[in-house]
Amino acid sequence: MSIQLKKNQVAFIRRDLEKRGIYYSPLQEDIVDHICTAVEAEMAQGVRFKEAYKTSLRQFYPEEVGQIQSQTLNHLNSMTLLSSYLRTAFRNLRRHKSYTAINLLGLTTGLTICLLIFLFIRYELSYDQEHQEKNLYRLTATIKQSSGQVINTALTGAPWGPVMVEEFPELLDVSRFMKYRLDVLVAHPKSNQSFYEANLMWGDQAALQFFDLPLLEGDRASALERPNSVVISERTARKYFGDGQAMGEMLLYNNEVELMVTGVMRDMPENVHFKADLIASFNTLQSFWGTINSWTIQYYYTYFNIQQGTDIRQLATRFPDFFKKHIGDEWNARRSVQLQPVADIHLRSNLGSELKANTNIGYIYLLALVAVVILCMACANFVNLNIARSLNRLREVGIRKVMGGLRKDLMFQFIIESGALVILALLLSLLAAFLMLPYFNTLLDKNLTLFSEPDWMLMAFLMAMTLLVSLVAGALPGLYASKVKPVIALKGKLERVLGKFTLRDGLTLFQFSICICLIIAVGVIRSQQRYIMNKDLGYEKEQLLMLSTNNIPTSRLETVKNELLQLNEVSEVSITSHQLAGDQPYHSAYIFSNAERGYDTLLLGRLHVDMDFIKTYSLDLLAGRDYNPAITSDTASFLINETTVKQLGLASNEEAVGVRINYRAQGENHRYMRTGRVIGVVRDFHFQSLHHEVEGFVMDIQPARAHFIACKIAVTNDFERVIQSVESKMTELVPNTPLDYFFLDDRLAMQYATEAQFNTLLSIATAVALVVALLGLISLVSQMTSLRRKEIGVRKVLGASSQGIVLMVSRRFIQVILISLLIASVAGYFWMDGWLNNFSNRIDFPWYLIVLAGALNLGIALGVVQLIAGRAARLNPARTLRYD
Amino acid sequence: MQSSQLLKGTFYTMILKVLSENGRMYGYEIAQKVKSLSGDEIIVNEGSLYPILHKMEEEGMVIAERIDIGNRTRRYYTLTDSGTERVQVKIEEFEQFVQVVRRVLYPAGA
Repeated sequence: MSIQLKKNQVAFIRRDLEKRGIYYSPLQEDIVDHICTAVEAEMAQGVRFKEAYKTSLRQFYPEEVGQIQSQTLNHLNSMTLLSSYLRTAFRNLRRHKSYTAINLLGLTTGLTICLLIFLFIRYELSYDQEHQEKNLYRLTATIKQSSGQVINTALTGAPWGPVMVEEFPELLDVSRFMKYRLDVLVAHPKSNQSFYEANLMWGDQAALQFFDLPLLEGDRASALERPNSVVISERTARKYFGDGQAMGEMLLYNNEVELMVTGVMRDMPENVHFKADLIASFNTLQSFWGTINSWTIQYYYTYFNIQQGTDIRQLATRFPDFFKKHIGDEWNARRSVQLQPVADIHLRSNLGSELKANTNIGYIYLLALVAVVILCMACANFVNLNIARSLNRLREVGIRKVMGGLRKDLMFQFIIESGALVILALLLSLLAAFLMLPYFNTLLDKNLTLFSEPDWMLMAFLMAMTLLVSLVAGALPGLYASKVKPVIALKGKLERVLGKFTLRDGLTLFQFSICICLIIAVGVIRSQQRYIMNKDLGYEKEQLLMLSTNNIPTSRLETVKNELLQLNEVSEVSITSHQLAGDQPYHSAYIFSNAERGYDTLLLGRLHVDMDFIKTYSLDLLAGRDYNPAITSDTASFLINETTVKQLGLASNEEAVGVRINYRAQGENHRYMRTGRVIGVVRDFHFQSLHHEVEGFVMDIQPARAHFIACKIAVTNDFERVIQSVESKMTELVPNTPLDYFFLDDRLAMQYATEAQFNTLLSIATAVALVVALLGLISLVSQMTSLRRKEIGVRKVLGASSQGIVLMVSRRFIQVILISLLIASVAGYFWMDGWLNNFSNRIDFPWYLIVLAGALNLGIALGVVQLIAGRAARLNPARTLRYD
Repeated sequence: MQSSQLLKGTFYTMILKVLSENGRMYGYEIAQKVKSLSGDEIIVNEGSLYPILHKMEEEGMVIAERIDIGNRTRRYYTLTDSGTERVQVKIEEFEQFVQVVRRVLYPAGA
């Protein structure tokens, strides 16, 4: 008669052998099988199980069985052992499915977001880092206004740099840039092609060396030496010349300046603080740009290569003397210059007239922090689950602990198992990151790549993360378990291990504080964004279609304006110098003369308009009157804003009307004096983004400064039709030119793109944090209910209701979450209130968000408890109590 | 004849030989086989059997297959090609050894 042992008998044998020191998995299988076979043979003779086992064991190995394992392991080398441990680990992971699933999900989401944030941050940090061997600095300037306002700008004077290099030996070389603030027209007459170029820069020959711009064709040492030369990017070359030869071709700038292609450079990467598709030689400007030799006009960017080891601060203290010598001491009263490392521009510079939108280093720190915190949360779940598992095993094998054999084995096994899990999660997150990267890139308008080339830094980062997580998650439970007294472990009582406040409470506290804090942050950022988008800017930004005047001859502008007014869809038209969205104001010194008060000179923003400006932008007129075409002297009259009135120190807006203004205006080739009177005061409106305070502004009429045609649209929908009719009208008036247009409110939204981007990232991170916290909570509640299974059973027998039991389990969670709400509210308030201070126009801290975040988290937590504890509470006590 | 030092050195060879003649076997089976072949004279001590089997596995002499037999997993061992080659070498080694011992114990020129 053949006998087969029951499963629990096999399990008994396995456990007993484990206690005796046989746990190396392949050997354990062999010996379990061997002894089982022997036992089965004995039992076939009619011996009872326990007896049969005793006999078989004695026969098998008369001495201590555990020695077989040490003998076997002594024979084997470490690779065999490691691979066997790994195999065991995977087998265990398969066996504990929910453990594996929760950990894998948590770790994978955590690691994926970390990986994406890592790529993002690394990219942001990579700006302008490629010129390390040079000591590149940018000259920046500070202008103090009489109002006390300080303007920091990247713009400097054109003649400064070359003379400074002559007078300061530390300055080895200089390179300058000039970039017109609007798109410029570039034509290739031979092929009759023309394009508006947003990224045409005028640069010194040295720029090619300073920024290591690689030329594919042409000589890098001399391409920009001569006037009327231009270096163009590959893409630009293709655009104008197709597959044909670019070198030596003639391009025409703005229908007046000829530029010969002397070099073709590789397309510029994004991670440089400026973008140039064409670089024309700076000395070309001498021939047509009127202000190029002016010492006081700041419209140029200046860079220096500075002698290594120079004390920059000391060098800067000698600059005022330089300006005293060349311009005069009065210049130093209001202005100063500084040196700024080029490598710092992208993350640490927020000046006026930056060549590209920069990022704030604060955002980078914050994102890094969020990534680390999410990873910690995922690790914490992992550690917690491992502790629970190790304690479960402790209960099984508590005796062995008494025998002293457990600690090292258990720890080693956990580290290997954690390692295997982490590596699996890492591979999954690499895959996830790879799949998500295109969406991530679209969302953030970036071009990040994963392993497009051998990436040692990323590899090192991944290895470090793997090692850290598996060591922490594996070693901590081992240490923790080894601290537990065997008696406690045997009884399965682990709640009191750390006193009243358990490790689990700490875990919940940590995770929910983070989640609530992040939710508050996202909420505040969103509210602030909504506030900015809807804020009254002092004019009506909706329904404004902006056309560029780029291609329209100045003489035809009046005709175009009148023709546009004839269209049914257009109610008002005004021609202006600025778009009021993202452009930098011009500043000039205005001399106000007033019968009673004498002279007063103010540096104020300049805006050039026409007679229909107030009507088209719906500005509020507070005093005086609007321009009147019937009054001929009005072409020389001024409008000012409220802030200007305040800066003048006048008691009322009415007092400002009639004040005389003198200022030196810039004509085509010379400067001339303009004189006129203030005819009206308008309510303050926002010229720049809401990051900036409203400045004092002066408006006047200067047809030479017409850059934009603002059309007030009469219809509220069907913008397609509006564009079509404007387009056909423009084609009729100015044939053969593409229509260059945009809606003002779209352009305004772009000013807050950095915040929007940051908020998108933070929202994703918050969602991930919530998922991780939720997973943690699920495993916590399951553990708790399974530990208190017996207690729940007894309570039910004694008459407790299911709902009462759920309440009992949830009480602790509610307490902990309320504490975390308190912590998170305080932290969130200080954090986000500080952030809001970055805006000149900010909302009050939205307190309701704290209630909302708290309620959301509490709701989710209670939902989870209800679901899991509720199920445990509904179990039949007869079954739960019988177990064990 | 139990547990003599002499025998221990030959376990490796015996296990190889038994495996080469019987194909796939599990530990218990190997022990039984050796026992029955020797007419119950040789009991392969499990303390030696399993360390040797695991060493053989590491050396690539045998491969182990895990088969579920209902209530437990059983590891079956099979000789690999290099294991099969090794059998012959080991047997020749053993015979040489026996001859050498013989020459010492019964000197011919006496």
